Formats: sequence, structure tokens, C-alpha cells
Amino acid sequence: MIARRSPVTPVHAGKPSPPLPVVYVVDDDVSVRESLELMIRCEGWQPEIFGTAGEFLARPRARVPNCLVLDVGLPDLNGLELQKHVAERTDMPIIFITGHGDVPMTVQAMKAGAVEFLIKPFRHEVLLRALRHAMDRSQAALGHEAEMQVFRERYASLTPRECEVLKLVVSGLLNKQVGWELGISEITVKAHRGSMMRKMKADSLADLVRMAGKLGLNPASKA
Amino acid sequence: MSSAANYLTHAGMHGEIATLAKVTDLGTLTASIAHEVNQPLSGIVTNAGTCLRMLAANPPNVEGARAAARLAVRDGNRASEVITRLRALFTNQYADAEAVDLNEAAREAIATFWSTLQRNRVILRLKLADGLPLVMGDHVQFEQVILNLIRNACDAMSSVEDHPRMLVIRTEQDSEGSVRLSVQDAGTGFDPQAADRLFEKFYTTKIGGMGIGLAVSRSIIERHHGRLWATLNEGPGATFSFSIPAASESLMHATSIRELTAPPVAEAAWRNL
Repeated sequence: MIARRSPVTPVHAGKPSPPLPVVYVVDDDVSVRESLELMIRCEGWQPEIFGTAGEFLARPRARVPNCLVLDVGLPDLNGLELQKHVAERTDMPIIFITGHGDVPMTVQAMKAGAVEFLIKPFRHEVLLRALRHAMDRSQAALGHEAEMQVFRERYASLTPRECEVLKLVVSGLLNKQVGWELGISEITVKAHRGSMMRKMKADSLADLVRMAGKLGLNPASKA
Repeated sequence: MSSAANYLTHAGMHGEIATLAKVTDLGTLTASIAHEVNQPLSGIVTNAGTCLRMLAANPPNVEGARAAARLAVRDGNRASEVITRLRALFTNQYADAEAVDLNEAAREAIATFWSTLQRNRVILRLKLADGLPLVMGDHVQFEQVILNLIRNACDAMSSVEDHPRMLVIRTEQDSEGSVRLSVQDAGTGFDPQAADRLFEKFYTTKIGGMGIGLAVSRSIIERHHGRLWATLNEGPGATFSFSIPAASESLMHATSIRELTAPPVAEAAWRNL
């Protein structure tokens, strides 16, 4: 039985350990599945192993950084097809593995955003590097999504008037120009602007512009 | 030229390699073997890498290294088994030709695979005709073919949850005086456009261990002057059937015992462990 602690992850005594990042593996060969499971566990991640695409797709999405090691030639669903199915899961980068060396397939997989495309038998350190890279990408994507969620909540807390003021302000108008646009006085504009900036937790106009951009509210992105 | 057409023109060829594959199919066979051996090899390389990392840790994780090394040994044995079985499958020795009862061959194949069928919750329905004429050939090879069809059927149903995993094995005498055996499953079926590809497999390593694939099965059947084909069911799944001329007729077709029997399969090569 392998030790519960990985040799490369430090353990903090007394603290509950955070959930481990997850590596999904989908491959129809038992040698590949079991060797990857051991490797992943020893690196301090949580392996989740499947023999078919169907079993994997039935699992709920992970809330932690995660990635997928996927064999191209699965019995029930071609790996590239599966890639399309999970395309919107930007938090789950894909590393392809295959027993065949197929150049067109490699190009297709990489163009569709795969992290790596490895041919069996692949070198241990090459896969490890790809896994770490994939986890970084996952972390970044999750962070981005979490940030977006915060921005959306702030925006949703604005009154309709405050929304209007926000859009006009980020388009570069001065307060009095905003007033002309909306048919209200400059003083009223300033009041709305103040509460809007507070609710959006914007430190500056630049900060507000950045948030508005991420929310798709900038004039350039208006329909 | 489709591989189906290949087999029809080359059935009955002699020679060690040619008896099982047209010369250009060697490429496919090699790629197939390479792919099969690359799987345990990949396991070995990964496990050895994990072993080294465990030993390089501070302090060294000896238990982890031991687990990895054990897995590597097991993978090495698996690779060796693949080679052994392949060698046995494709070695050119000749088997006896005798009068075979396909009902018996079917029962033998089922007995071999019984525990796997149970484990996979397959419901077996036997519809074996009484008074079935005998066929000339090698009963071991016929059993292998039937086992191949049963194994494929089981595999096709491995993800079925919403209806019973029904497997029907039927024997009958057909209108041309041939003996027909069919294996019907309730599985995922196959893509009619890709039917040719089905018959390209020389061996399978899925449920229930390793065994001959449809390419070899077809070769065996055709060497017995029969034919092997697949159809999709009206309901779910597919039916794979083969027909062989009944004994008296095939003696008229055979020009020699050599032509009738095909390269062997040592029993150990396909019994699952």
C-alpha cells in the first residue's frame, strides 16, 4: 500500500487539508490506467480513473483545479469527439495520449486547445510537465471564473440608473455630459456615480473600465 | 479494395504469413501488434518513473516505490503474454480435420466463458437445432470463432443498462444445406459504413482476456469454405453469423486436408486466465 502522503507535498499538522486537485484519466487499457493512477497519487493529486468516455461524462464537474488525460482511441467515443463535448470546460485542460502516432489528429487536437499530445510509451517527466502546466491553466481559468462571478454580482446590485451612469462613464463622458444624456443634473450624476463606484468596488475609473470590459459593457462591445 | 474482398480472393492461400493476411495487410497487423504492446510498455515506463521519484523523495517513499515496481513487473508479464499469444496464434502448424458438431463447439465456448458472462450480467438464450449436420474441420478453431463472437457480443453490451443484456446463440441448417451459427446481442451495434473495419481486428484484448479477432475468425471460416458476416438487428444490437457447408458437401470441395485446416491456435493462447 502506498503512503497516504506524497513525498513532494508538505503536510501542515493540525490543519484540515484542502481538497486535492483532480486528474481525470480515461483509457481503455488497464496497464495505462493503473500506472497513471499511482503516478498521479504520488504527485499529491487525486486521480479519477475511467475505462470509457461514458463513465467519465457521467461524473459531475470538479470545483478544484483539474485536468484530463485522455486516450484518443476509446471504445465508445473517439477522444477528439469527447474534446468537443467538454470544450466549454476551460478549467479542465486536456492531455491526449495515444498508441498511434497520427499527425493530422495531433494537429486537430492541439488546435482545439489540448495542452499536449503524447505517444505511448511517453517519458515520465514529459507527462509530469504537461500535468503541471495543465493544472496551472486550470487554476487560472477557475480564478478567472471566480472573478467574473464577483463582478456579475456587483453589477446586478446596481439600480437601473446606476447602470446607465456606469455605461456612459466608461465610454469617456464627463459628469455633465452624462447629465445631458440622461436629462438629469450634474449633481445627481455625481451621486449616482459615487454609489455605483462603491457597489462595483472600483478603486478608480481605470479599474471600472477594466471590470466593464470583462462584463462586456464597453462601448466597443455594445451591439 | 476492401478487406472483405481481400479475404474472398485470398482464402485458401498457403504459406505462413499469407494464410492469415494479404501481404499489404501486414502493415495493419504490425501496427495492431505495436499498439497492443505499447500499452503495457507505457505502463512500465510510467511505473519505473514513479518508482524513481519515490526513491528520490526526502525521505524516500519506499512503499510507494515498491508498489510502482510491482506494477511494472505485472505490466512486463502482460507484454510478454501478448507476444506469446500472438506467436501461438500465427504459427504455422496443422490441426486435424474431423467431423464436428457445432452445437458441441458452442457449448464448449460457452462453458469457457461462463464466469465472464455471469460477471457481466449477460442473459444467455440457446436455440440449438436438433439433428444439426456435422461439419468437417478443427473443433478448436470453431470454438475459438464462437468464443470471439460471444466475447464481442458481451463487450457490445457492457454499457447497456436500460434493457436486458440478452445474448442469443442459434444454430440451424439453412436452405443451401449449410450449417449456420449466429450470435445475437442487444448491445450498441455498429456503424454500417465502418463494417469493413470490424473485420480488420486480428485479436481482441477486451472482456475475458485475449483472443482471436474477427479477421482471424473470418479467415478460419473461409478456409472451411464458409462465410462470416454481420447484420444489425431490428431492435438494439447486432448479429454475427457464420455458415459452413455440411460435412458430406465440404469433402467434395476440399482438395486436401491442408487446405481445409488453418494455422492453429494452441489452447493456452486463448483461454483466459
